[in-house]
Amino acid sequence: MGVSSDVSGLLAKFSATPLQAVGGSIAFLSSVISVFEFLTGAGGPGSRTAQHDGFFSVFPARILLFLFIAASLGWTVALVGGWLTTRLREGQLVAAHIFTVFGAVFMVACIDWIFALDRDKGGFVLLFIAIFGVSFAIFLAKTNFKLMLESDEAIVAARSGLLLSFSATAALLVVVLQIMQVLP
Amino acid sequence: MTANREAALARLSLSAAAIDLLVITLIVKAIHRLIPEIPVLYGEFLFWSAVPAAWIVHLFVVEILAGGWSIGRLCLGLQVADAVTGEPLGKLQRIGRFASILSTFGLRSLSARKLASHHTSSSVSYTSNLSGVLQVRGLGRQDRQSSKSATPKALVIKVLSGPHANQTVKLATGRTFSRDGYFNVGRDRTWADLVLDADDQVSGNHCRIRVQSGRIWVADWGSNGGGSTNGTYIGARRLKPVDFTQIDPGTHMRVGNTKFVLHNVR
Repeated sequence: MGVSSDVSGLLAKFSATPLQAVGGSIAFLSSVISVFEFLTGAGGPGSRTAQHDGFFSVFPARILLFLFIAASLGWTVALVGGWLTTRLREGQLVAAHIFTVFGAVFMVACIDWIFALDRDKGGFVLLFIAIFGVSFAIFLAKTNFKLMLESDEAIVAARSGLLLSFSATAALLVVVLQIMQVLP
Repeated sequence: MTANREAALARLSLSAAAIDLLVITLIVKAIHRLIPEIPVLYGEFLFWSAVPAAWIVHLFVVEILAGGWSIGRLCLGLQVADAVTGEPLGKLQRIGRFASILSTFGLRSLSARKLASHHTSSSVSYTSNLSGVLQVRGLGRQDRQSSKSATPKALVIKVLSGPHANQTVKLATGRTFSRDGYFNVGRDRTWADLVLDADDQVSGNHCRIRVQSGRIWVADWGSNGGGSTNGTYIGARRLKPVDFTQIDPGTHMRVGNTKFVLHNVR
């Protein structure tokens, strides 16, 4: 019981779906590195990053990268959220919500970073990408929760709350960013 | 209808609304792009009036033209349907919902615990495929009280027809379930709790039943969870493999040539 059994439970989930777990982990880690670069200024104006040259200077390639990040984020948020909501302990629920909100902030930061070159096309591109990315991540998170085959309605309600945290945080951040663009 | 199920659907509904908020923002952006003179000519008030206009346009498209489907609801597998037939809503129902949401400015939908009345009216059901099927149907006060008092003490599974007709197994609210809280039905003696080995249309691992918090769930199974050969039926509806569907006590089910039913016992 306790932490060790929780960790072994998470490892069991990973071993049950190894391909998804490996793919998700690689994408998640690579996107963490990208956002770390962004947050530390390495991805700021004037600096050369993956979005300015090479493969990701092409718009469809940036879309592909973002879809990969959105998919891994949605799947990882559901995987960790599902694990933390298995027992409905209050502390774990709070941790699940914090992780989910962080995931949503992370996704919006990714949109801002990956599509920095497309800002001059107006807000439309970023908004389209945001709708598509958030929808895709939420769809995958819901699919992951569905595959857990949970029949306890209290747990399903808690997981629905996580989906709400994710979509509401991402949507509010995107809307605030849009309003900041419109206002002088 | 339990509070948890209603809370789950309310949260999913709000989550869908958050995604739809992005679509509304896109419509606002489109209005400003199409009529760029608005802020210059009419000032800030009309500039912001594009927001409610976009919301009404979106609501009209979703509730009336698209029959309750929006991008958010599609992603979350949320479906609005006629409570009696399970079919998509009729024109009058759709117009009624539109008017109801519009008249309250959508504010009644902003609860994470309770669904708004336009989601649970007597003629509309709200369904999600998260965890099998979560369904909320309109219930009056009397129905709510009778639903509370109808918590089963135990369940009995009774075979109605087929080679094993009249066989009965008593289940004590899930505690007697032999494997992981599931009650298994099939021909395989090493797997099934209700063994139907005389019915050659039944698969070895045919279907699974789960009872939790007084609710009954059933899913078609098969070897490796890929679905049984001949399917599990509720009425004429064939269940999807490994997709738990909630059923009420007294619902007749069919596997192969065998029909059975689950009853409450007090």
